[in-house]
Amino acid sequence: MFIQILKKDLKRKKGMNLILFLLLILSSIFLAGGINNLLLTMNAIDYFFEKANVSDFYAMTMGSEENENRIEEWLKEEGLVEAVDKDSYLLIEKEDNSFGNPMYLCKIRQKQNLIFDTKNQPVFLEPGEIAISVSQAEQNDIKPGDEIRFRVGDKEISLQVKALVKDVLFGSPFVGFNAQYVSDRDFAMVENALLEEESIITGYGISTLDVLEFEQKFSNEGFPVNTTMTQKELRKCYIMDMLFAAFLMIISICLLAVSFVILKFTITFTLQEEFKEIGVMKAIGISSFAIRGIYLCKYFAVSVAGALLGAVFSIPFSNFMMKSIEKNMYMPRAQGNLLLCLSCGCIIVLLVMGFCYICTGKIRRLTVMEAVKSGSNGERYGKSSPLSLYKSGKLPTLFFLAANDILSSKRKYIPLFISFILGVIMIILPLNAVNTLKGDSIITMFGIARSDVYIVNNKEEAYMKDGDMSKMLADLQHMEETYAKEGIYVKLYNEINYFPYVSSDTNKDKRSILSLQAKNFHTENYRYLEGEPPKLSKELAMTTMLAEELNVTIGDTVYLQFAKEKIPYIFTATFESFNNLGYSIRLSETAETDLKYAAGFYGIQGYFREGTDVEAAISKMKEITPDYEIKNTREKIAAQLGTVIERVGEIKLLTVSVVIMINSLVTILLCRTFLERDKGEIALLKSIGFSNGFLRAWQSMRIGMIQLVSVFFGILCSYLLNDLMIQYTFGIMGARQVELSIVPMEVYVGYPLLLLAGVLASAYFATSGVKKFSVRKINDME
Amino acid sequence: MSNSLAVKDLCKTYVMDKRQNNVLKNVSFTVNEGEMVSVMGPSGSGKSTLLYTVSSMDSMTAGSVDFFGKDLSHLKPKELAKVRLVEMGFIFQQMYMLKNLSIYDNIILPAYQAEKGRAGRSRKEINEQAEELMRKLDIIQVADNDINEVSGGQLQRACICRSLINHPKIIFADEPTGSLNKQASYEVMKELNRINREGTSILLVTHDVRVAAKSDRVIYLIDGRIEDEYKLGKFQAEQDLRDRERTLNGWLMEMGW
Repeated sequence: MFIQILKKDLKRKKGMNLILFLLLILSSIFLAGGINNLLLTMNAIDYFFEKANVSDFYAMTMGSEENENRIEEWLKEEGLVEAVDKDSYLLIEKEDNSFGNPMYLCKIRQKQNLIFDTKNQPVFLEPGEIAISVSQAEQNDIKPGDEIRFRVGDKEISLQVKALVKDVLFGSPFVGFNAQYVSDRDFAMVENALLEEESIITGYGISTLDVLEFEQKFSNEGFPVNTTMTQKELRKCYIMDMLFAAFLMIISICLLAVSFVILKFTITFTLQEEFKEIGVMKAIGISSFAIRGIYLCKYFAVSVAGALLGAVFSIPFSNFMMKSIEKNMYMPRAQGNLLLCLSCGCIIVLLVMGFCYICTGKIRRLTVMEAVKSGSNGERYGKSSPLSLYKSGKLPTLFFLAANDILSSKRKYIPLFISFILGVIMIILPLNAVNTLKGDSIITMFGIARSDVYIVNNKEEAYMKDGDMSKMLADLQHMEETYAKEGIYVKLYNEINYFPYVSSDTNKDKRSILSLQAKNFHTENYRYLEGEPPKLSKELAMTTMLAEELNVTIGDTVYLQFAKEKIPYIFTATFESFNNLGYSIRLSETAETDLKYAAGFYGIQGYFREGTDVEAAISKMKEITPDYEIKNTREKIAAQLGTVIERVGEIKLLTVSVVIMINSLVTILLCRTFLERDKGEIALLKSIGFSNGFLRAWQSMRIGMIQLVSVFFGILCSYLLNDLMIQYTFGIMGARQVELSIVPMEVYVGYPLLLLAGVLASAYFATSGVKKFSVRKINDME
Repeated sequence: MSNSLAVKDLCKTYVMDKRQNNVLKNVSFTVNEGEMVSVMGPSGSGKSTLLYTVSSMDSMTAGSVDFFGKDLSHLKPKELAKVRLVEMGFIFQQMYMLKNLSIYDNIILPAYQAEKGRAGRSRKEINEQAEELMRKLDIIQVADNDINEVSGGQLQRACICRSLINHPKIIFADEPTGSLNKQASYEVMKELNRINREGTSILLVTHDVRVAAKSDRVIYLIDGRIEDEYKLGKFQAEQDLRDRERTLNGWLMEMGW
């Protein structure tokens, strides 16, 4: 009997069951896909690190053979060291190559920090071939087969890109360094042709028995290194990939919530519609439990089918979502996760059945008398007409009827309301994240000040080699004068990076920390959270995360060690920065630093005289100094964040598409249900002369109004959730107090209008059945 | 007297499960301006289908319906809707009304819709006319009530108010007293006769001889065809009703009623 009833129900409520089925498939896809991705990403990082045999500790030093000898001697003696893998990177300046950035040529590592091609195979290069990481290829628009030319001394060399590689050490955009791989023969040829030993950077991949102890000992030696990185820190650079997987999970939870809301609505509607049948069944002695069984049987069939299909589809979906991660990482194959996806499917079935069991509880309370009395138990409720047409002024009848319907039966619209609110939240949160990442103010989160123009004059490596600060300052002045001659008045300054060892009285463990110093620019111009900007030469500011780690508060002394000597500094202020995953220092402009110890430059920044047309001035500067790389703030951010913005953009596109799809499905389901319920009234209005167009507009208008109200509440909820979610997201990258960039036209007008248009179009489509309604359906009125 | 409605060779066929059901077979008749015509006949003879088809609520399979010079069979759905809204009024056996609106709002809704975008009556004038109608039909005291707060007779009178609010040229009534008790039926028919005397044509379907006796003419339908018709003349006074009923009953007996 159950099968017969089920068959009949599935046939009769085809549309409603189909949409419920689709929603369950989608929930299943997203839940299984989200969990799968999260586990895959977590495993992928472990797997990638294991396959690439990542060293426990990596240190890079530049230039001096004496330094190298010192480090190598110490490593030989140190008992904690298990193995050392030495790499050399040959610097080819930007102006000497066609790559677009400075190049660091390197031999393929054979023992540690291995690289793989896009098919996860080891890379072999013949003379004349070069391999670059996937992220570099995307950034510089290079494909396999392209040629990269460069000049070393008087030699012109041309190499063909053979492979794009997954580079565990330098593949993440957050590492901030990249390498290009060449054959041993080409490497030797370039090395021999290099005129200066300062153009060689040496890297040491070290396996140790105890990383923490080793790191401490290494730091205590005070080697003049440019940067050091433990395996744990390297893992943090891949955190964004985990974040995207986690984001998918959030979408799937929202979807599941929407499915439950719709399920609740469907069950309530079905029970209301079938109360007579239920009453009759009760009257002839069928128990409530057995009647419930009929409904549970139906939802079991729908949920099992939906969850199973969703679980199966989640595998290609998960693979698709993992594609962008897979480009950069050596990942285990996803096929093995069918079991996981099926388990997620089972979880959904269990959740749905539990929920259905609760929702069908009403059957127990439904009496035979209610069935006889057509669902009325004799109670009188409040007035059913909350608005008055004759008091509505000039309000068109269409708006009046739609608004009156919503206010008359608010509960009926709650599922739609909740679904739409969730949709708005799902769109606004990633949208704000993307806009914040793209917004001008994000530049300050990199620990630098926002300026009008950003310049790379390709002399950074030379300044570092010479160690001549006055030469750098003279160059800045010369540049200002050159531009001024052409009518562009710009004040320039340079931002220098150091990696001194840092310690405090309370935390004597030394750690190499990124320290920034602007020359020709006052420290008051930066954004601080607390305290006073460092003005005197022995003052500094540091990130909150670093202060917590060093266990210091404002006013305490911290120690920086650039060379051998430990110099005390007063900690005067805190700030926030994404740099170095949240651990960095800002030195005073007057701090006595030596360019010899600089690790790099953020580039020259500049402010135009007030009233200057920034874009016009920048394009003129490009004409005056065509060799320089000149960017505005937007371009600088894009270069700084690289593929991260694209990934967030992908997530945004995915969520917008999913939300529009879900909203459309929910709208169609509810419109069809409302049509079924309102068929008598529609027939009545048709009979007294209301056109099909009016009736469809009336039905659609109600949905549109709900969407509008939902947008308002969705924005409100997003506003509250922004702090919780986005701040937390940015917090992982090292900034806990991010100033959100909200683009009001896009967030409050553009996307809500898009959602509204999608919903109205779906509603209009779903109400097309009005045309076929016969006036005879008037007899279906209660 | 000119025709308000001229029906010619009207056919209506329903196809159900590949079987044809010819409900109306070449039906032809007229309703003159200011005339009240009743349609009678046994159950399943096609009375309601005839009413729904000639009023354009349902499509016709063949034939034509001329309504004040307009051939309804050639009008588009939107034009038909406008004709129904502005020039026709409808009263059903069940007192159908929008449940989320008060009695007053249900009455004025078609008028507000009809005046949309036209420089016709203002909403204030519509409200005044609605109140006048409600007063005439003695339901002004329940104007603000919900539809479940009034009696069946009051609700049917509200339906009549709604059908009259746009000053229709004709009213179609499908067993308007079918769900009412004797007193309520009397009241409703009294109103219909009054409206008819004021010049509005009425085509009604009924099983009730007492109701049909108040009309000018009775059409008798059997198996989708007009079997015959009987002219009673204008109903003038209540004291004539018994005679009219008797004569009509005799004719109906002949028809096999």
